[in-house]
Amino acid sequence: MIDSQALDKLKSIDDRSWANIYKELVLYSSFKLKKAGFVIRSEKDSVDPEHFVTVAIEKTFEGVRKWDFIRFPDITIHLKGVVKSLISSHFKSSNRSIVNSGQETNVTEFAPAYEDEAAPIENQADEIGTDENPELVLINNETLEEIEKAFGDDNDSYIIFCEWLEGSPPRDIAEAFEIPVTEIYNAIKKGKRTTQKLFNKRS
Amino acid sequence: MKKISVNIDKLNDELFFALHNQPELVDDFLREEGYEPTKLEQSGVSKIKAILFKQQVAIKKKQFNDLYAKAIAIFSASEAATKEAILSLLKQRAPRLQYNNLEKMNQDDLRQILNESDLLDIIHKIERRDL
Repeated sequence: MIDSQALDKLKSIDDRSWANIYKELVLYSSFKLKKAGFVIRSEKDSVDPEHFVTVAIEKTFEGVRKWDFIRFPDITIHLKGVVKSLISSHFKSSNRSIVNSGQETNVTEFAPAYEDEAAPIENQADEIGTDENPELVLINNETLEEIEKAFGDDNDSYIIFCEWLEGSPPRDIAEAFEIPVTEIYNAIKKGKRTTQKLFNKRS
Repeated sequence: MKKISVNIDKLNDELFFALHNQPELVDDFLREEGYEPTKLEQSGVSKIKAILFKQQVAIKKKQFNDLYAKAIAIFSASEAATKEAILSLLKQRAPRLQYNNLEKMNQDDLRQILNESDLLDIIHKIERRDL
């Protein structure tokens, strides 16, 4: 059962804030399920992103996933951790430990470490050869060329998308290219859309 | 052959934190994912209200259960004279009451005789030694 202080804190969150929290979590859940467009979801794991968000909120309200509001005063951060953990558990239970997303691309997917201490942390180091990169997508040259082609004439967006894929934060890319950060987000959106279409065609 | 290794989990986390507390950007990305943000937030808020309601009912139920368990314990631990007074009060409420011994009474029996506010009233009286 949830403790009364945590429940009071949850009750004090207004509807507007809950609306934004819910949307952020659904977006995160959707990204996590779709892997930036590189993973084609199979029937067995095609659970709606909203499902994981609702379960995360339920578990927090019930106190099953205890919200340490002193350590994580922002409830969105706590819930994001719960969503992450639920999706990882779901992948494992649906035997989706390794998924091949296309003939040229090897996708390896594993349960990530969860920032909430209450959640289970599985060590998957043996399966991926490293314990530092729990979820890796290896993209070879041919696949990169296909992605580039799919971008068409918009080569700048392709370069920005690749920079982002390689781990550069959007703000750093914006500074390096001397363009507004919103353009980086547009390139990321386009990249995810393009990649998803490309891999959907392959399936 | 060129190969890039992408840490998808890290990317997702970074994008989450970059968009955190930026509702307009979140809405843009949601539209890209095929969502209608206004509908999504309405459905989200109504789900959260339902979850909160369900939880409040569960807490209330537990509090009531705890209250009856506490009452039984207090009744049983009372002095003989107080026990007599309690039994007499309960018999006023439920003339057909068969019990002559409070220890034999369980929470369900008590729940049929007294509502929560009456029960609280009796507990307060016992604590103030008015019974």
